[in-house]
Amino acid sequence: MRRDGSGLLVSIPPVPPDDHTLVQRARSGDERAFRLLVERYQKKVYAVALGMVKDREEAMDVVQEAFVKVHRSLDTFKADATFYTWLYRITVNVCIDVIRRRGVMRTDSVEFDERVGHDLAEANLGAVSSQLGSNPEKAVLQRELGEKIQAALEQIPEKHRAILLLRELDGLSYEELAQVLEIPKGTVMSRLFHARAKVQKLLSESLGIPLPAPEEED
Amino acid sequence: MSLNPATLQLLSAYVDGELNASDRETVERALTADPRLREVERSMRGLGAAVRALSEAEVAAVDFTGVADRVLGRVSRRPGVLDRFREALRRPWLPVGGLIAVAAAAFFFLRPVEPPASAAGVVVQSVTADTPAQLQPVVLKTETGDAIIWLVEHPDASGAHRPTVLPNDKPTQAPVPAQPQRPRAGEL
Repeated sequence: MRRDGSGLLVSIPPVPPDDHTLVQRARSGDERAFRLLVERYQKKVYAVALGMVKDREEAMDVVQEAFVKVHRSLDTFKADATFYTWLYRITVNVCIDVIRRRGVMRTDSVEFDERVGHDLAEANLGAVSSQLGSNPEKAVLQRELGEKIQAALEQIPEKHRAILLLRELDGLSYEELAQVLEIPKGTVMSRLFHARAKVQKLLSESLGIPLPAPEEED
Repeated sequence: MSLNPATLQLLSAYVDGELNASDRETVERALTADPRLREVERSMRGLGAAVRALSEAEVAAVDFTGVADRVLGRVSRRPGVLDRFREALRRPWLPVGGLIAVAAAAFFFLRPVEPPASAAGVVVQSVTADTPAQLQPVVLKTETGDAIIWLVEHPDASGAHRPTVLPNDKPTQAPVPAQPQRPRAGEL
């Protein structure tokens, strides 16, 4: 409790300990500290896991497995690293293990080549964006569109799905994405672009939007 | 202006707020000039918003009660042998180091062991010289009671050592008896 400018007593909520403090405490055996870390990140980890493995039960298994691995590796966590980038790296690796174990690593993923620019140019993106961009919350209420987005995400390779989900769901910066996925920052930029291009192309096809006539070359 | 991949890649980074000032300005000029690029930008932003909204709806439907308990329940148990083996495999230096240690230990314990010199069972019965020579035995006793015996020539009057020439048809090694015995200095 303390007094504000007008002399009234105001209550100050306790500042929750930051990740590094909790990691240090968990390292020294503080179970409550580790519980706080789990509760802080379980939903985010679940969201990424569900986007990756596309199965609710398996996604929940991934959450548990990821945190168990984190706990067992607390001693190897470097003080200068960011806890959540480390956690996401473990999560993505667990997801890839799950996908590989069930033997559905996609070999029939959407092909991508340098023509992607033309694909995007040809697709009637205005129509897609009118459904996605103008009011996304309203759009996703439309069951069909939601299913099509899910289906499009399922059809792209794991590495593209992972980077797109980490960027869109958790807003990781390119620097953080590079750390999580252990790739150069330049690769982050191109991989993210390719992931978006593929999903947009798949969406424009599945929504049945007619493609306009190709434009003349400049 | 055509929608080439390089421009679109820059646009993707622009949507993410990851461009430097110069590239940002380039993209903004392109956006002003090309309405189709603006559509792509809207679509990229819309896709991100849709993915987030979908995910939030999914996550909101899940009950996370007890997740932390289940995790803590698992970590408080000692990991099984299989888990520890898997964990070891994920740290390549551990099994490699272990293999090197095992190989070193195996080499140390399983290497052929040479019998110590003190166990040699050569008993010198007598010493003879076929050519005239003045030989003198030298006996060196060790702390363990073993004796090392060798023969030396007396130097001649000039002080030089003359080599003793042995005939070719004579064995140069003493016979080895069936029951080895420790040489005793007094046997000479």
